[in-house]
Amino acid sequence: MSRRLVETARFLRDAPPEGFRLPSGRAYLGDEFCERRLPSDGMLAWLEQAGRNIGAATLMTPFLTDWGMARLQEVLARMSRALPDGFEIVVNDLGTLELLRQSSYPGLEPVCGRLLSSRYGLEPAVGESGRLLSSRYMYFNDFPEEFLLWLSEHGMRRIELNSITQLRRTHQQLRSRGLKTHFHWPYMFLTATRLCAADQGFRGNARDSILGCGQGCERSLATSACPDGTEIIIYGNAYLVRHEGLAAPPDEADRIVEDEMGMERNAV
Amino acid sequence: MKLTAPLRGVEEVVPLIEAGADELFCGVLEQDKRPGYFPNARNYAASNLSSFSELEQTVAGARQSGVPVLFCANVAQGGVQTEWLKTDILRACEAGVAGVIIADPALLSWAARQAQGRTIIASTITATLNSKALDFLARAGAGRVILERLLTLSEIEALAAHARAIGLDLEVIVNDQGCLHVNGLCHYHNWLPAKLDREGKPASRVMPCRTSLPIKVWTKTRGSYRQTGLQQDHALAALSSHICAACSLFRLRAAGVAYAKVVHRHFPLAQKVQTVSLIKEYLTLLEKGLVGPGEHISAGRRLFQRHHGRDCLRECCIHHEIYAQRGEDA
Repeated sequence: MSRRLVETARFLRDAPPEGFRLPSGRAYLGDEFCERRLPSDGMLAWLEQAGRNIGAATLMTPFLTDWGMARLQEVLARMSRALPDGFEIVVNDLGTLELLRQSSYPGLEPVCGRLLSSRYGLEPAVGESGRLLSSRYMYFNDFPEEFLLWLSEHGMRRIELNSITQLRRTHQQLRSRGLKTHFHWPYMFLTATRLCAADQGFRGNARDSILGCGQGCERSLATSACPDGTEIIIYGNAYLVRHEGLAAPPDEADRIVEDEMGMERNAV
Repeated sequence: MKLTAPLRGVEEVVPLIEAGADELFCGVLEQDKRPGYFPNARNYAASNLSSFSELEQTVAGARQSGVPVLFCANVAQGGVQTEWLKTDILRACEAGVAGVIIADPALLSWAARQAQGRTIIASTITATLNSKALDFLARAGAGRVILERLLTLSEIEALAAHARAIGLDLEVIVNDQGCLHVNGLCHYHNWLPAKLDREGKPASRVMPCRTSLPIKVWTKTRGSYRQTGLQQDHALAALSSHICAACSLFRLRAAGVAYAKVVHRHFPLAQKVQTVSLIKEYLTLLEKGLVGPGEHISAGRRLFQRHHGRDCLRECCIHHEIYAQRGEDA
């Protein structure tokens, strides 16, 4: 049996240096956890120059405050000018969906982000018998019909899934409805906060970080080990773990979004 | 400004109303009928009524004091559980609840159509932090939105101005256990393997966010990371059962926030009554104009001391502005 062709995309977090050769395929910009990591002015200026040389682009957006929403509107306006053929936007906040409805950005294709889709796994899922459908990590059932209609009403034909449990449980249901699935590799997310401890080297409480940011996430990260030995990575304001039991990206997804977040580590 | 309070048993109706609750909220978990079913965000028996007949009694009891009861359906579920959840919402409406708390944005419109005449409340699990999200939820049928806890007072004031303009009520949580993560996104507390009983049903879970975990700190040097320190996970730093926003009520009320929410249905009744009476007394002082702009923190601290029998801690202030102002005081 031949292996299905899976699309691969990569994150581009900083404006590349001059002469940088763009990766082939789709480039992801932005961030899914922190509104302060939406594309910078430097990145947008680079994009305005590179524009048509980029094969395909996706703007990743996080949960947003009003400050972040205003910044997102600036980013969308500049990206729409730089990429007149359109681009994707991954939506992780209901407000972003409303922004897209209220404004007109031609050629924009919304994608349901994993912060929205994985809400169906916040509580355990059980079958008719009362047995847990999966006993480990996150718990997923089929998506309800209301959610599938909701995706359709908001023009979303693509959906990100967070864990291998969720992907394997739902990909056939989604495919049968004409939906394409995206899967981040190699990390699934566990949680996120607005009290980010990265600026202070993960020491003490991080109350002041709700007001401002020194971009400590670009200088340091933290790791922790659960009692069962699983490593948790605290990257900026987000907690992540490697997908369990997978040596390579899964075949079931239509697109693999590669994002190491620059986290290759050398222990001293 | 009204006070909404959590309830887990019919016997709690009168004490909570006497303590000052203007509204009650509760869930129903019929464990014997549908084992393993999780109908709301507090998915254990100790947080819930055990039957819809108890809900009817609760509604009837509260009605004698003119206090409405809300029904918690604040979970996004799939598969067969979605149908059970929808059935439960309809049964709660038959029992006479005044409103339904919904977490699933896709279910919100359904509930607004099916539960006409009831207030549809978007749960804090919708992770609402911006004005556009308020627009979205109002358009979907919500009459009230419970805001995410990790907002500053200034951000809430701006959202309240917007909510007023579009005819939406806002509700703000005024006590907490100190969780640092965004409610509507958090898988961390449910993440470690569930312990299963002999029949393969969930028995209990380990909550890593309630466990002290050592963390290694890695610093970026020439493009790669090297370990440079060892700390304790800061997620535990803010944990307390007395996280409080009493001093914030002055600004929240002035901003037009309609409801102050006391949370934690599973807490012992005495503890809930203690918190409800503290918040109610502060609201009464505000209504009588007895707390001025320069007095709102000292008034809150005084009430906390009286109701809890000890001084409150600066670290336990929910809202950043109060936390920061207390630092300046010190």
